[in-house]
Amino acid sequence: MAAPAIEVHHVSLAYTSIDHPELRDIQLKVEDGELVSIVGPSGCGKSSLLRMIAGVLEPTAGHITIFGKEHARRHWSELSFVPQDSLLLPWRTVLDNVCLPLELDRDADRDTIVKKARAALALVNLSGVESKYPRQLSGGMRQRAALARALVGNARILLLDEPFAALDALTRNQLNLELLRIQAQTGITVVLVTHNIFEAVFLSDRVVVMGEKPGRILGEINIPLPKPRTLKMIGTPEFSHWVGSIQDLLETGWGDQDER
Amino acid sequence: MNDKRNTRQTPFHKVLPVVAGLAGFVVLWQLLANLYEPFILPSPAEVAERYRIMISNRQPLASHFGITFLEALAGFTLAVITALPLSYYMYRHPFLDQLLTPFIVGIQAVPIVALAPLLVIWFGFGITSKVLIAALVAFFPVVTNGLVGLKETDPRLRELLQIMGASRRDIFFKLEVPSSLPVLFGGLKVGMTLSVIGAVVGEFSGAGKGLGYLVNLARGNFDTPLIFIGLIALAGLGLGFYLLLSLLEQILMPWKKKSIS
Repeated sequence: MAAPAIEVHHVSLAYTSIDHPELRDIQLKVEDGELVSIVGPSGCGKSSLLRMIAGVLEPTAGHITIFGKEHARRHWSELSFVPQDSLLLPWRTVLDNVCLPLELDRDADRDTIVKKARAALALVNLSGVESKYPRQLSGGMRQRAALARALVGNARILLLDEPFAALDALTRNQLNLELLRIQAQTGITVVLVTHNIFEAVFLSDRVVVMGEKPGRILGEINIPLPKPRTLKMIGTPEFSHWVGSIQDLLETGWGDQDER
Repeated sequence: MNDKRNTRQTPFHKVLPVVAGLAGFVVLWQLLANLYEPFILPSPAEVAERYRIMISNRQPLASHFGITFLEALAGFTLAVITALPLSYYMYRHPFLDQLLTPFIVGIQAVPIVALAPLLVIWFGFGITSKVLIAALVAFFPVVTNGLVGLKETDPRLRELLQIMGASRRDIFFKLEVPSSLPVLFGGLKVGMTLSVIGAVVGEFSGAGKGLGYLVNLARGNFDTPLIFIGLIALAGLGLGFYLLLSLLEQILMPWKKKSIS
């Protein structure tokens, strides 16, 4: 049996004292090709969990495996990341930004890099703006470029940290559909951090709900909505049911917090 | 919106304010010169006439200009090649930052006119003392802006590059250097201009050539038009250096001038 794409084993994170952890005993398994969302209130440690999976933050306790291998230095061809603010390098053109992860591999030749970058831009429907600088693009286009940069190395896992949170509703819907299309096309494993319950239900195979103080997993909800998903589903009673279920689970977290 | 407006400017529109400003300055100068004796404030025509005499007497301005140019440029180069590595090491090692900052600020706080005679005594009346004085005044803005520029590197970008698997060297060349350029260029421009002042202060303290020497000589002879010639040449030198750096800035930072589509 193949190892899960991501497995988080009893991970805790404490910045000051282990008695007051930011994240407590997190256990999470994400199967290959799955699209999992993590929702929770601000400050519950969703992004910290994602950064630990990405390998830039060390857990205080526990460990994380990627395709069964112990946490080690990541490679963009294995695991890539899209942050909230696109974080494109302002001094690089769109094409050069997308090329960047491949440039870090000293053996790669420029022609191959550019070819792959153009293919990634085409995949996210952003061809034609290769020579523009990030500040010349709209917010949605910048996020598409960040998505292309994440996909350029053919990573098997894509981590998304509230990537569409700063966008208007129309653009966000459009990019959500693009994300679903790309995931269906490439079979990439996706972990999405969001505070938008509707977005989580619309996109996910499974939603992980987190509570705060300390950050912990309150529960997981499978979303059995049919695929391919369309925006029309958002208004259906079934969709509302899953939104309500997540909302209820989130509220149990508030109750726990009040009791303390 | 401002960016859009700037991209619509033709070269004519860019040059027009400069030409108009210069013309206005000359007119104002002429008007004021009418109110004073030429000994106090010579008119533009009198300065031009003094320049003509200077040329006809085979006293070329170019040699003085060249000496000051060389001193300032060498001083600035010395400042840059010492300040940039130092700012990087101070950025990488906060201990070094804390250790050296009081000394750097202390040296900067001592007026260069007070320090210049000492350097002339130590290093003589030749070009060396002037280069060192120019380097000393240019050093502070370059090292400070270099350090500030590096410190302003977005930590989220650094983290992203780490996720990409970037090495320390990759992070330096692909992130820290380009990220610090805008702030660094601010320091380079100030440093370059200050290096001209440093060279002139050095020439004032003791020299046989250079624009500072020329102005000092003219002062001794009460030759006010010659003082003006020296001052105009100095302004031109400072402006030339500034424009050169601005050009370099545009070449190295093309993303800064691109408009929002």
